[in-house]
Amino acid sequence: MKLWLWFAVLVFAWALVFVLSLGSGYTDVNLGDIWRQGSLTQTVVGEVRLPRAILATLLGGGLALAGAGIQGVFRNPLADPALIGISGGAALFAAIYIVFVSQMGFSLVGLSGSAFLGGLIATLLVLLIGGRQPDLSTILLAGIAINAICLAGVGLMSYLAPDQTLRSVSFWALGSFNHIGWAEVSVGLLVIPAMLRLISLSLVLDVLILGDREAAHLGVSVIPRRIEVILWSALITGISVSLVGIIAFVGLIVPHFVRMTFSAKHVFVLPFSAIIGGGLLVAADLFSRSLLAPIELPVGIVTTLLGAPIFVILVARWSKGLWL
Amino acid sequence: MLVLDQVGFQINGRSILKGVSLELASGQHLAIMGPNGAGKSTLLSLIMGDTRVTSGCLTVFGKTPSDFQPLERAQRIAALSQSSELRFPFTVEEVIGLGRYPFQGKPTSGEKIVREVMDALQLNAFAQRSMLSLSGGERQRVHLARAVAQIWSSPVPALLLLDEPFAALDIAHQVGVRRLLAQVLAAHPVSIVSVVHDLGQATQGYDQVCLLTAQGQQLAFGSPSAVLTPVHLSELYGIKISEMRYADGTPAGFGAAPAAHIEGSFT
Repeated sequence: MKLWLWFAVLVFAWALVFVLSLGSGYTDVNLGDIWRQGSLTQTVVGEVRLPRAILATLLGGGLALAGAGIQGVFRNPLADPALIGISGGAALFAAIYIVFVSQMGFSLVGLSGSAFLGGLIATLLVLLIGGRQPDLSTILLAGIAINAICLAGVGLMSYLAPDQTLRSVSFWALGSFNHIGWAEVSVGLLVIPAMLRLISLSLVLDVLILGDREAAHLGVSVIPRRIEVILWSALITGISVSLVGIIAFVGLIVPHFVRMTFSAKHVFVLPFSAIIGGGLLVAADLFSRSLLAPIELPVGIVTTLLGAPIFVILVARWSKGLWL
Repeated sequence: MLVLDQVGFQINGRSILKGVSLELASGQHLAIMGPNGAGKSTLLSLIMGDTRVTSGCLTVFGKTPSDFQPLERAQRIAALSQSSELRFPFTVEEVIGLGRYPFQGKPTSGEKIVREVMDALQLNAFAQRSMLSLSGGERQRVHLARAVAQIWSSPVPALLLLDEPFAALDIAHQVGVRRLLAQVLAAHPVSIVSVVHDLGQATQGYDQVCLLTAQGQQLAFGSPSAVLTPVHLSELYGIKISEMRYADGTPAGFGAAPAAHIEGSFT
């Protein structure tokens, strides 16, 4: 199978970026020292760069896969967890948790859980407003509105927040890997079962794309399956937002690229999106900490600066009925 | 295999269908005809089980349609709806292959079926084309192929429901689709129910015809020669409709032009 050969190439490319991101940064290290006890390399790589690279892989892959899933159930190739409000809702609930709940005792799982809940509520609102319309614009406009409300809420939270929590709230709107350690990685591992379940639904997603009625006529229980895909995607997005803030456009651009380059079949779209998304986010993180080193840019800014122009091109071509 | 007894359907107190009674045997093709808004598509969704009848009795293979499990139903009833919009670059072959979704995990040689259906509809040249690059008529043929693939070589009696299968097709492809449907009926234990509009071709290839009035009432049901008469059709559409004949006297369907211009002038 030629496509799986390409998959092997992409895995290799991801591995290359991964090793590169371990070896480069503000502190010069020699990767050959990595097994030497107590060496600077072992500390920098083991405590800082390795957890970052692993989490970037997990979340980049998860976000790209969640994007593909959301596009499938909304039957809309321009949907994205951030565009349709999942990320905004997750960020708002994360901010609420930080400002109000964490004073009684902070837990990473509590933060992730409330981000997941926020993402879910935002998605359901968008679905209620625009979910029944097959038309592209209704869902996007509903998502934009919900997103705006949520980000205004995040702004309100940072206004209400005492100074020391202010920075941690504002970071949710930007997305950053600055503070990542092994604790975050262990929570990030939770995206793996969600990703595997979504991949197992590949064929169902193919059928759902034909239309609700067509899918029902082919024997798919449309509403339970759609809710399931949304739940797993919201879980991935919620975990991601709670750990590193909003990282936009990975979930939009990557699956789109896979569909136009390799195949539209979800059995390919989902794993290909995962490996490309993982590699892309590792690269974006590397870029965000190398560009102005020692200053570190929030990675969400990098993905947005990269993704937004591509999105504009997609929308422009879309209106002419073209795929890029 | 399909029995309707005084079937009626109401929604919000408004009657959409009333007094529809018909029976269809295995291997037969039923045409449902009537003016716009007569409830023809509604009748198809009642047979499909997407909506339930509000009066009368409707059974498919001896069961109320909504009693089927989703997958069980999909293995026996396939449908082509009027518009199916696809925004993703699936290939023609992939879309037709989705018609075999209800049979996954069963040894039904899905790839062979997809190839046979593509052969029959002359879609081979399109197999690897993206759906997004096709014209409306080409897409319709692909979706028809998907529905046909779903019941192709079915070991048990199956039902194919087609909502305006000829709507976007040129005359050559209409003939091709008619030939395919005849082939399906001859080779497999399948019955077909089609909603059709074209009176010119109406007498060809159907075993039964059901006429619905604009109010959703059954005007007539029976063989085409008994049901399709200028009197029935003129009443149905509210304009004068005449039967056309070729010069040698064989029937050539129906037309709305004044009879004087049609009779005898057809060669």
